[in-house]
Amino acid sequence: MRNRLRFYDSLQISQDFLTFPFVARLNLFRGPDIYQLISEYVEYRIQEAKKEAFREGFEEAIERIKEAINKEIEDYMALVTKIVDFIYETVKKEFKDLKIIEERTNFYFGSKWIKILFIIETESSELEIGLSNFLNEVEKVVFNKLNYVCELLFLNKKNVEIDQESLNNDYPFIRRREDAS
Amino acid sequence: MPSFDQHIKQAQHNIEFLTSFYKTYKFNDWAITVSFYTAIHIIEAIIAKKGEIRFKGKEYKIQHSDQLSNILKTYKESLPKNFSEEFITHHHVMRKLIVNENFPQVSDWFNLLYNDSRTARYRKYQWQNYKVDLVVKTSLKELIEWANKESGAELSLTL
Repeated sequence: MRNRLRFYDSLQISQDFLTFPFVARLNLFRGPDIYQLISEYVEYRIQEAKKEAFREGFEEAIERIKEAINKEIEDYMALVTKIVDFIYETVKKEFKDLKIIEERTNFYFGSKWIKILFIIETESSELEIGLSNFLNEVEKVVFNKLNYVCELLFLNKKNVEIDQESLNNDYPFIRRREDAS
Repeated sequence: MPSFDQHIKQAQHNIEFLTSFYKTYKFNDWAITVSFYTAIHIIEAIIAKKGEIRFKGKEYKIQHSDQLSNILKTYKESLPKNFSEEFITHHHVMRKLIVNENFPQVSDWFNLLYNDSRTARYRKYQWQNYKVDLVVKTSLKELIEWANKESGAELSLTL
């Protein structure tokens, strides 16, 4: 368990990750139309910005706030993706008899809540405990060091009938994996 | 606000209810639910006993986790960066953050129960026997032993 701490620094958003093209990052998840979701959120924030703009000078304020919103969204999505991938890779290396089948999320641009659900498959209850502890460690680091509230959950689908509709509703975005079967 | 004694009494009440049916494995969904709410009473009992907690390094004098939400709602300027006001209304989330920062000895056990309570609906409330054993014999048992040691409570779980 302890040796995972060395990975934690890599949770910081690195420069190269931030400069990874935004549009390309949007394609890392499949699910509902994320462009629509983002444009609705940006539109909402612009409406809010307009109120401020009347006081400060319309064009400059809109431009400044738009840039700030885009930066916020990019940082947030980069972090969600990085956490998903960090956990996926760590589990692959360290939890030999536990397989992550799917990583699902939803994006909360307003609150910046990070909510990720890992659909897993394992027959070992010890590994379930191990994964739960690991996810809790990551949650703590993300909250303590980066200030994001993070909820990382897992669901072992072994011998369980999944309510796909609820899952699609609450966690509509699924991380694309090239090696997925 | 319920006192330490009231939370402990309610926790013991729940434990007795749990032990009355748990081994039949006929009501596994209820076993998970009762375990989670017992854990909440245990956590709230300890908060009531201590009378203060830390949140993002700051000390707050509270008797119940809900009071932290009210304080943060009143003094919004003290909210940490990236911490949306929205979280203040999520009592389960707030309690979990409190447990992580203040009670690291049991945060992993509490987290396991939290995970199961949050994912119950996606599994259509079907719980295998091993999951119930995991929750009752490990998570809940550890929380009970910790609470007894921490506060002098005399909770007892007979399996």
